[in-house]
Amino acid sequence: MHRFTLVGLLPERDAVLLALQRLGAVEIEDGTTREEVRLAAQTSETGEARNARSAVQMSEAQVARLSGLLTESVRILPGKKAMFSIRRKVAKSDFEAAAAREAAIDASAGRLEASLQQAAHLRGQRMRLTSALDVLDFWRDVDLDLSTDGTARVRFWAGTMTGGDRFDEFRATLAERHPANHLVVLPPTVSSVAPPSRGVPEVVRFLVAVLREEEDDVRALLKSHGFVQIPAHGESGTPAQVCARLSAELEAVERGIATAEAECLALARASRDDFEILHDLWLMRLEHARAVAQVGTTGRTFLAVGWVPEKLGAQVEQALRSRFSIAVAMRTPLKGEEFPVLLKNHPLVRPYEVITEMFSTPSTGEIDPNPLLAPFFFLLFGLMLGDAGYGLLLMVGCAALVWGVGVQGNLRRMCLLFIQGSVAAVVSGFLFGSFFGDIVTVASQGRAAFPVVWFDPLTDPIRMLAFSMILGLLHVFTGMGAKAYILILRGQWIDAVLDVGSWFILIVGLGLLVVGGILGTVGLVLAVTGAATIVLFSARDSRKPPIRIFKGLYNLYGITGYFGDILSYSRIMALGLAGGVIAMVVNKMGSIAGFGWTGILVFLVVAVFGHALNLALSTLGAYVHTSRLQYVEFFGKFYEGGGRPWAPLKSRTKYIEII
Amino acid sequence: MEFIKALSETFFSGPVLAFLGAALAAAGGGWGSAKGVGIAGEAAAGVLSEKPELFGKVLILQALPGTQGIYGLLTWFVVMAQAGFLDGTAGSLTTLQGMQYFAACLPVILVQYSSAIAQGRVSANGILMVARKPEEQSKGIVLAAMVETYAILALLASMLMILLGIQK
Repeated sequence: MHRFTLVGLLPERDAVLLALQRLGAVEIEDGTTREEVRLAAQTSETGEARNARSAVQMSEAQVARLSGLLTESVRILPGKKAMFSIRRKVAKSDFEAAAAREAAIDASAGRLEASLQQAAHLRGQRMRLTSALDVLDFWRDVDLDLSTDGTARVRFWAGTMTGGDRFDEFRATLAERHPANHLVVLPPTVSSVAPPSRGVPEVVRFLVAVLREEEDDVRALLKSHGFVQIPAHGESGTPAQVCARLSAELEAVERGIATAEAECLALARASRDDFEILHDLWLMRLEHARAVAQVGTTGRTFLAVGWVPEKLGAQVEQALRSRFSIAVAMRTPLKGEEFPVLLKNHPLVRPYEVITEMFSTPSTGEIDPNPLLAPFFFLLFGLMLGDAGYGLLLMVGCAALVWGVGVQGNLRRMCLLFIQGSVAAVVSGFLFGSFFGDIVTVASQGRAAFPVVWFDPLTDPIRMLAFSMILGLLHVFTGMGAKAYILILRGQWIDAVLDVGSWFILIVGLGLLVVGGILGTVGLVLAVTGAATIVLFSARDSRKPPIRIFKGLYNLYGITGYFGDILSYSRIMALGLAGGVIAMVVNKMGSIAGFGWTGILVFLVVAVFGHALNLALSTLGAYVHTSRLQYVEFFGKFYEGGGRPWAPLKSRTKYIEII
Repeated sequence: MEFIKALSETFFSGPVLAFLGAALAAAGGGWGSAKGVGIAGEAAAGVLSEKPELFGKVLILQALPGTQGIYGLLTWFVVMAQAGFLDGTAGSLTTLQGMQYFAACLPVILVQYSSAIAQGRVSANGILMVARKPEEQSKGIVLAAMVETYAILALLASMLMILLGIQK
């Protein structure tokens, strides 16, 4: 990765950045705070920076607006929504033709926005009208002029109150305090909106008229008893007339909604493809605007800084020099300088990069763990899935997704990863005699059996356990080896021997000790040497000998960590066997109906569902636990991560792919 | 009295006791792991609702308490193999041997359950930590793995007892 510095003439800035965007080979870093730019800024105009920032904001707003419109369009358009979002392929000429019609498409977008807003507004009105109608429906049969609240000397109210005690109390109090009143209880309405529930007193509709002088007191009395006045009071006409008016309004609104929705649908259908093109065009412009904002400017020049991969540097320079007057400087990173990381791996190893990325991108000073991770992931995944039939199904499924449906991005990488892993699973299935469990045995009623190349783990689980732990030991040793390699690369030979070598010798020694005999004696010597080295030298930073020895002993206790690591690999055996056992159970369940015609049908149904489920669970478990073994036991020995992936300035699109 | 004698004869026979130990080992580990992974999963779902890009990191932390279930299952396998259930010789297990198998399973039964739940809580908090500082994921993993040490020691104790210590 080379540090890239470019100085050019200000009028050519946008064109240069566009060319860089097309090349997609340089990551642009923020150069506006660079010393040179700040010094220059003191002597010349730099409203440029403000302009650039507001341009970015405007661009972001435009893209967001169009993105929202597109989401809405997809929602209202009928048809199946695709499960995997794939970018639509568009020929370059078509793209440029659409780009030329930018203003027209933008106008369509504006019309769609307006229609959507109109539809939403009308829907709100519809809701308002519907609820008003609902409430007024309760009073439809009452022939009362709503516009008046009485005469010159009489005030009346119409409304509801909860029946039973409440109303009786009100009536009594009213009669006591204002004997000059006229109260009429209206019959219960036929078209009640809410039918009374058992035990709850029905609401009572009534009219009450009193003298104007007593108006305030009665109003207070009404309020204290929970009086609800008739809705729409103050409007002209009777409730029935008001209802009719509202209904007519509602109809008009419904018609308006239908029109607006039809308009939206027509616009969406006609312009959706164009919107997608416009969205991606603006997205590319946004990237460009962001780059412009990061470029430092003086009165007549601009300064761009960033990172370019070593092998692309010359090409970039060549491409730019042929069109613009620029000065380019490239240098290797300084010692201790942090730079973004781009991985370069063999095509077979590349799918495994997604595993490392999920943990953390390698940081500047680290090695790329993927070539080491790949074979072990392959092996462990295969053993954990451990069934030839499942491996085949997984391979076919993932291949269909990658080359049939054409998925992109992380899903594609995972599929490629699983295709490799499924090869290992098929091999493992042959080694341990597992093809959809024991389906061959069950289907043939014991006459035939799937061949076992090595041994059947169900009859000899201890052997499988030992095999898993030995694999674990190899894995851990590889991790330690990687640590030693890193130390040696840094020139820290002594550290490599004392820190990694001592543990290696100790573990090998202990292993040989268990074997016994001559090797046992050798093992004893190795183990003691290793242990002594650790006790004496692992804490060699301490000055005082007693503390050094204590710390050394404490570090020796870390051997339990290694035991734990090795034991952790027993999950290979556990998961592999668990998958096999579940498959056997599925087969057994399928065979309960015998082997007549119905029996075979039952068997097929049970087998399809059961094995599909088992495949999904086993794959998930194999992926998660293999990853966990890599992250905890393997990476824990030598890998930190914490790096930043290289993110070049390029034309990123969301909906379409330009070909 | 007859009834109790018959019951105790069946219950305290070799094969039944060995089965019981194995079954509790598998169940204890599974129960604990289910709870532990569940606790971590709840935290994970909360974090992902705000930051869905952390899925990979959070998934690993959630998977960590699952180890104890596997260890329980492992102990079950080993007992089944050693006591002769898989090759049909378990009928000759004496009561003494059965009790030894049961006792050997006790470390796993007790410790896998409790350590899985404890590890689940540590994982859940590790997930919350990763939500704030995604770069500190490895520290979260180490913290959870510290709890696993005791599950491993218990597994080791049980394994050694089952594989080497059952007296004929």
